[in-house]
Parts: sequence; structure tokens; C-alpha cells
Amino acid sequence: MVFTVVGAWLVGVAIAAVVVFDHATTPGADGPTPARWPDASRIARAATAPTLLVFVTPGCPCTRATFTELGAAIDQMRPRPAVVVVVEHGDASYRPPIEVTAIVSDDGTEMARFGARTSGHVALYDAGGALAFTGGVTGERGHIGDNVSRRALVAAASPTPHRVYGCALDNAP
Amino acid sequence: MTPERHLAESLLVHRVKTDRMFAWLLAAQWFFAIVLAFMLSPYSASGGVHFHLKAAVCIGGLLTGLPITLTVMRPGQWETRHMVAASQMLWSALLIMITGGRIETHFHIFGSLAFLAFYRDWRVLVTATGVVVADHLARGLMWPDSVYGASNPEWWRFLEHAAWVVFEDTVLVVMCRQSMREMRVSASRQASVETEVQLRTRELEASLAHVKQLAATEKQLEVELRQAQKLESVGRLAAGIAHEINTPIQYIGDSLAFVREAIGDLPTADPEERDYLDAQIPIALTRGLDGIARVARIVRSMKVFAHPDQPEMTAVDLNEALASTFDVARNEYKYVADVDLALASDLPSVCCHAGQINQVFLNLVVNAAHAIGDAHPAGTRGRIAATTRRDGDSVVIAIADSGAGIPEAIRDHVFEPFFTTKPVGKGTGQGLAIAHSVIDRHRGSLTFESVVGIGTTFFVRLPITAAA
Repeated sequence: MVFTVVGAWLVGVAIAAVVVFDHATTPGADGPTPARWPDASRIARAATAPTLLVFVTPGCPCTRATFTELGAAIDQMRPRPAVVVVVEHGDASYRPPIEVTAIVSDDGTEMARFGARTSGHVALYDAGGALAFTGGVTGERGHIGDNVSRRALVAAASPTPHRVYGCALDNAP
Repeated sequence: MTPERHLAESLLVHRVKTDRMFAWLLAAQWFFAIVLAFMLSPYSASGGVHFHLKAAVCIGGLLTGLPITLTVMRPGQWETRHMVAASQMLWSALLIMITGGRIETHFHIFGSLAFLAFYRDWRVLVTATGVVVADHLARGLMWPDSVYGASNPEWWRFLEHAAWVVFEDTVLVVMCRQSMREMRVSASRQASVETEVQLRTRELEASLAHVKQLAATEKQLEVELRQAQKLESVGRLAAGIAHEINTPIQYIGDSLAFVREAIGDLPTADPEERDYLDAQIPIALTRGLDGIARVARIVRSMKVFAHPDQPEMTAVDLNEALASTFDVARNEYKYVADVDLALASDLPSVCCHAGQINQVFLNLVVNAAHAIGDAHPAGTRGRIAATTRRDGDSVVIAIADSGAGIPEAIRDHVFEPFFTTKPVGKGTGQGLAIAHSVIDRHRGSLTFESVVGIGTTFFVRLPITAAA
């Protein structure tokens, strides 16, 4: 009897491990990010420095890890980009945990324009308006730590989309 | 009990306690995880309950529920502690995963191993270490970020982690074995002490039985001694009582003989003789009746005095008992002393063993008579004064003599058995000792006051109601 119960318990533990693994490592949806800064965007792009867009929704706890990784990456980036945080339905009280150039509240238009469907999506455009990086900067959902995506952002030479781990934004399919 | 049995019992008690400790620890960890998840990420972006909170409740409950149940249902059993070990290590894995493989969180493993060593069973450490190694190996291959905090760790990283765990295990196993050795020594000592205690207990029980037997024998001897002393008193009194009865019987006989002769002479008597006989016959009859009354009184006193001992105390009129004692002992004192009786008319009945109390009175009266006889020159008389009175919840009977008094040097010994100042054949030294013992059993007291050259007074104090 005891061994049957223990066996069932082990199966339960294994299932729980799979569920947790799946939750942490399944990336969010991601749309195509324009290769050049869209002219229709109402977000002001920096003229002499790269512009780093961060799309977030305030209620997503996973985004804390995104800002932690971004803070580490921005410290290494040369030239230092102008950081614009686009907050889904943000209000005046929202304050990201890193130093930023601007905070823009968005009803989903800009997010759709830049192909951001998951909170934590980052897009880096160089001073000329060309896309240098797009995707997430954490290795897993809500996890901090060195990862390939963050290194690619620092190198600013990888427009290939990187996986984004986080909560879905409203415009996600 | 054998040392092995002691060891097994001690270990069971110890492991049940450790199970209980882990039950609380596991519950506390679960509670902590839920609170932490609730504080950090209570809601998802869409407003529902966040995955972290669901995981804390469900997975935490899964990890905690079964081991806690086993600690309650099967405390102290091997499967319980191994389940606790596995669960505790899975908690470590969960915490390491949640914190993204933070190296600091790995200390939860080392702390848990130290706690598991409380079981004093190195096999539990093997189970725990097995879970840790399996977890590091599996997650290191499939999901290294969650255990090492890095995406591309070296392939041998799990070996490094395992080595540190084994290092701690080595220390803990040595400690476990040392603790077991100490427990074995303690169990052996306890068994030895227990054997000694059992031996001593048997000796004490034997001694106690012997003491009880001695006490029973002593009690029996005391009863026999009291009986012997009573018989001695009766023997001594017998001659006196016979004399006391003989005297009235003689003048009863003389009177009756006179009446018979007078009746025979009456028909032939002249007037002068008839007048004489008419006057003397009633006198002779009265003297005869007086004699009969005196005999009757002596017999009644004997009956009161010789009241058979009853197992239960009864209400006794001590005035009557004292007066009867003086009657039956009259031959002891009548040649040397006069008696004053001052008996309280309101003296209540006293609950006591009448026969035993009579024996006390007799001993005191006879002693008083002997003391007076020894102190007064032949031809002179002393005085015995007996009084009774009520004093609160007690009655006090005082018997005073005008003897020589008790010398200071022997006053502490008068109640000791076989102590006597009387010549051989006149006393055994048991009278006052038995009197003291009897009064003591009645929860009363027997004391005396004595002035050398003046006399001695003995006081018997008895509670009115039966003593407990």
C-alpha cells in the first residue's frame, strides 16, 4: 500500500516537473518586427544614438527578469542607447526598475506596429533606424542569468528574432 | 531489558521526534513558498492567479502532503524518513529552480542534509544524495539554467555539485556512526543500571516482607504479652477477691445460722429471751443481706473489670470502670491506703476498648498501692486519690498516690518495657509499658507528675470520640 502511494507520488512529482519546465521554457508569441523604424510610429526615435524599445505589461511578474537582464546589457552597450519603455495601457504611476529615456503608454497600436506580442519583447534600432536586435533577453520565463539573447543584444548585430519569455500582451493572437 | 532492546526503543523515540520536527519544517517551507509567491507574483498579467502561486500551492502541497501524512501515520518507520529525505531534497530542487539556479539557494541542500542527519541513519543520507544527484544530472542536461543559473555549463558540473554533497555526507555519516556508538554505550549502561535496580528492588521487597513479618510477629507478641500481663493481674487479684468474698460469706453464714437457731428457740423461749430474739433476728437478717449485697457488688465489679476485649471500640462509662477497678483491687491497697474517688458526674462516655482501659487503671492503682506500701512504715496509711473530669474533647483520669515519688534519674525509663524498681516476683516491668501502649493506640496520652517524698500522679487523657 505504502509503495503504491509512493509510486503515485513520484509520478505526480514528475508531472509537476514537466509542467514547470513547460511553463518556464515555452516562449511567447512573436510577430515580425519591421527591419526599419516605421515612419508611422508616434514614438520619437533618438537621432544620434540607438533606440531600445521595451514592450511590457505592468502586471507581468516575469518582466522583472527582463529589466534585470536589460540593466546588465545596457551597461555594456556602446554607444549607450536611448531606452523607451512602451507600457500596455500604462498610467502615470508606472516606473520601470531601470533608468529610461521615455515611458510611452500604448493602447496596443505601437506594439502591433513593432510586432510585440509578449511582455518583455525588446527591439533595438541603430541611429540610422535599422533593426539591430529583436526578441527577449532572458533564457527562460522570469529567469535571470547570462544567456545567448542578452549577449546578442550587447553585440547589436543580430536582427534574427530571439525567443521572448513572458506574459502575453493584449494584441497577442 | 537487553541493551539491544533499549537501543531500539531509544532510536524509535528519537526518530519519531525527528519525524515530527520534519513535519513542521515541511509545513513551514510550504507556507513560506505560498507567502513568497503571493507577495512576488500574486496575479498574472491577465488578472488571474499567477502560475507561481498555483505552483506553490499545488506542487508544494504535493511535495509536503505525503511525507507529513507518513510522519503522522507511520512515525519512526524507515519508509517515512526516506520519504522525508526525498521530499526535502525535492524542496531544495524546487527552490533552486525558482531562483534560477542561484548558488546561494544550493545551501538549502546542505542545511537539509544536516537536518536529515538527526535521524542517525546514514541510509537516509544516501536517499537524499541520490535525489540531489539525479535532479542535477537530469536538469543539467535538459534545463541547466534552472539548476546552475547558466545556459551552457561544463558537462561535469553536476559531478562538482555532487562531490560537495558527498563531502558533507562523509562528515555526517561519521557523525551518525559516532552518535550510534554513543547510543549503544548509553543503552548498555541503562540496561546495566536497570538490572541493578531490579536486583536491589527484589532485595528491598524481600527486606520489606521480612520487616512486615517482624512487625506482625511483634504485634502478636504484644497481644500475647498484654494477655499474659492481664492473666498475671488476674492471678494476683484472685486471692484478694477470694478474701473479699469470703468475709461477707462468713458473716452471711453466721447470721443465717443465728436466725435458724433463734427460730428454733422461739417456741420455748421465755418472755425475756423472746424479746431478745425479736430484736436480734432482724439485725442478723440485715447483716446477711448486707453481706449478699457486698458479694453482689464484688461480682458486678469483676464482671465490669473483666469486660472481654471487642474488636470494635464501644462507648464506656469510665467512672464505672474506675470504681470497679478499685473494687477488684481493694485487697491490694486496703491495708496501706485510703481511697478518695472524685468522679465527675457529667463525664461523657468515651469510645474505647473497655477491657484494655480497665487493665490500664488496674496497673496504675496497683502501682500506687505498691508505692505507698514501700514508702510508708508499717502501721501507717497513705492515700490514693482518683479523679475524672472532662477537658474539651477529651476526658482526663488522674490517679495520685502519696508514695515516695519517682526519682529524677529514672523518669525517662518508666514506660520502657521490662523496666521496674520492684523486687523479683512483685513486678515484671510490663505494667506501665503496656498501659502507655494501650493509651497510645487510643490516640490518647499517659503522663505523670512526681515529687520525690510527696507522691506521683498519673494522668490518662483519652479522646471522647473514637480516634481515627
